[in-house]
Amino acid sequence: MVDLLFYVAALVAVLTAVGVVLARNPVVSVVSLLSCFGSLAVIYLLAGFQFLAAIQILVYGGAIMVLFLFVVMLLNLGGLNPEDEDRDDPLFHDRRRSAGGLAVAVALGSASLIGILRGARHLAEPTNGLVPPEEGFDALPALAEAMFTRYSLPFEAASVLLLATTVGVMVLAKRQRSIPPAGEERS
Amino acid sequence: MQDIHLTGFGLLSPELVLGAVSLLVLIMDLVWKERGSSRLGWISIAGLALSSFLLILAFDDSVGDTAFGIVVVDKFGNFFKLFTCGALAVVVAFVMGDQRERKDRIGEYYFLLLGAAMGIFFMVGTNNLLLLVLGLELLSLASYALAGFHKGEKRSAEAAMKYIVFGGFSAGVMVYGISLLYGLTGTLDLQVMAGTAEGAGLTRSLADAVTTSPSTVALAMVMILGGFAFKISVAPFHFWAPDVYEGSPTPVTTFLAVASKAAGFGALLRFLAVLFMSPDVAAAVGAYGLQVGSLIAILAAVTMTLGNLAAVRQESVKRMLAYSSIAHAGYVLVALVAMNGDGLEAAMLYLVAYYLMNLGAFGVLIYFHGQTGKETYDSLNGLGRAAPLISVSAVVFLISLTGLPPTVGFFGKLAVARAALAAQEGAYAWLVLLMLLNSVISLYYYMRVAKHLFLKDCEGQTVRPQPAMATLLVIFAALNVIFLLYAEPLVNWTSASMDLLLIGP
Amino acid sequence: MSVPTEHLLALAAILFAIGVAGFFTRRNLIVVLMSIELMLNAANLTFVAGSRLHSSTGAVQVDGPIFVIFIIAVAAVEAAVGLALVIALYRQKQTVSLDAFARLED
Repeated sequence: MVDLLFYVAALVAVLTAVGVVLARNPVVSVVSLLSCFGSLAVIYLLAGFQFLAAIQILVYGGAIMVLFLFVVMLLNLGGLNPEDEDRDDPLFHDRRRSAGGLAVAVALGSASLIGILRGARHLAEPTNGLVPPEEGFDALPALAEAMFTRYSLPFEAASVLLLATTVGVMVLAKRQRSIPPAGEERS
Repeated sequence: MQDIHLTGFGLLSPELVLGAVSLLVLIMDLVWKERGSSRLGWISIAGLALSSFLLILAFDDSVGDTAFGIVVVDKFGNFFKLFTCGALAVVVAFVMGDQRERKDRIGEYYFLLLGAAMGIFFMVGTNNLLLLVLGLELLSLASYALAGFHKGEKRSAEAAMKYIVFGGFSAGVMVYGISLLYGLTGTLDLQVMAGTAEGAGLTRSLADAVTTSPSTVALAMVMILGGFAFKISVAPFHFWAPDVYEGSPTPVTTFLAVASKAAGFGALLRFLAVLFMSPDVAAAVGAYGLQVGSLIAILAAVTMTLGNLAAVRQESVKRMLAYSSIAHAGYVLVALVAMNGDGLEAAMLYLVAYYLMNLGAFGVLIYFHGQTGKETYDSLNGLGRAAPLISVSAVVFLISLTGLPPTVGFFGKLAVARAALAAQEGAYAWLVLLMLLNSVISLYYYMRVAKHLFLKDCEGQTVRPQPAMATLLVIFAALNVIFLLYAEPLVNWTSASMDLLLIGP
Repeated sequence: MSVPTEHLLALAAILFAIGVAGFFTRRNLIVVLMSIELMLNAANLTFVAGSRLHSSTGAVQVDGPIFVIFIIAVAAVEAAVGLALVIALYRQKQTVSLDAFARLED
């Protein structure tokens, strides 16, 4: 049952990830990515990391993806302009660049796959990626302890990161009040 | 527990000072409103000075203690933190002296610079890949916003956009590489990976992983090096650099070319040193390190050649300096092919030389750009007569960048060449030869600036005096010469900074 | 029957490759940012699988999951800055296509 759930979630994750890349309409991309993150949350849950599954849904789904959706809606990007539409089609626009990008992606992906599968042959016994329900695997206490002891400084560093981001976003998104001095010549 | 935390705060005092000052800047910006720009600049410089003072005080005591179990306080980190403070203070001075910058309400500018400095402090001061990534992200995020600071100007907004797209991509690649490395070893601590320290729980050293799954280790290494390559603008991750350097406000370009690049090198050097160069490291890993060295040799060759050939074709001085800074990243990598302590030391010496000459060159650019409003070679015509002192300093910086005596640039190139020649019984002699060839190419475009300054005339070039900026630039030019004649403290400082890195705990 | 850890890692590798493909082929800035999120998620899944690989029932290898939490914060931060810039650029050019900004001459 658990196995079946994993493979279904994995299939959904891959299909929706492909959907993110292929969809012409950004709203469809956002929703596909959301479903992809949802199925990843299922996999985290099956692997015994309930907390990660929860924040995957709450933070990724609830905050980050809504931010994306908000911007798409704000800019009214239901689709690009008709003349941009063809150019944005991943399979038709600028075949050379697309082919190069796909080649890089396939090379990186297959290199990691081959590495992973060859590495697995060296393992003494097959390892179990998921937690059988009867096993009392609870990662949360260990996670919480590490977060506030060994990793207390990165935790603080993350707060500095968030503060800097707040200021940075303000710098980038607020309307310019005055035009910078001396309009300059651009080459 | 309490004790650990108190000493931790003591060890982290330079970081804490920076954090406090950055908050002070943000608050005083609101309090002083229109009146306070140069005051905020002075506060930032004072904060950086205080932080450097604490770092200098702690230099001799920096013997590898860890604060909060994750920040390593050693001389190597201390070196790069001091470097950062020095570079940032000059960048802040440039912001204050930049005639094209608004003079009111730019507290965010200083705040973001100080925030980036904190990011650099974290990334050069840790053996833990998590804190390294967080520091790198803090630096990147601040840089994105700084690059787009003049977002009303088309070029600045585009620069920020390109930076964030390529930055996000390289962060993704790097984090995936780190995750593979974690999957192989079960730890994020570089020393535990290298097998020079005991890890908590179930971990495996890299030596095991290298023998059982060499291809995955190779992939992870390439991806992590890719992340570093982005920060130090090394091919093939250099695409962003020319456009971003050109489009950003020039003080930000200075920051990206000097402080941010040195930070990338600091983290890269520590990564390579702890993982591959410690004498306690397993033989398999050490041998693997030499292969990484040959990968770095190829990157260095491609980077410096690409950078120099492209720099020749530029019509904008700022864009030329952008490509020249790519080429210089290649020169630093030449020192690293040795994959030993001498190589690291040479790289650090070269970075100090790079600091002196490149800050000067960008300072001259800001000075003249503020006067003429343009960045092309032709806009420099006749300035040699109008501003002789600055023009002579400019020539000193350019000679230094080319790597000719009597400047510190020559000394830096010499150190790099010596380290690379000594490596692997001269196997990298071709790389040194290529570096010499590249220096000859670079002579052409650097001297083109001098030609426009002194040999081309232009009627009616006048220069409004900016005594503060001029003094700063002349001091830098003097330092470029002085440090060649009197290099000993520099050499002592860098070799002292190496002490702890190569010895296990 | 059970699912071997390699299958989690393989899934992550596939997601990463799809993210890279999206980054290189798409021109819509928002979709490019989403492709980057996909790559970060592939890394997260690898961290979780890596933690499973090095954990036993009693002792959980927590470094990976901790990294995941921080990566989620980093992803949020990158998305926020990226989207702020998208809005700033849209005000200038009324488009979010990367082609409008392509100027990668040398």
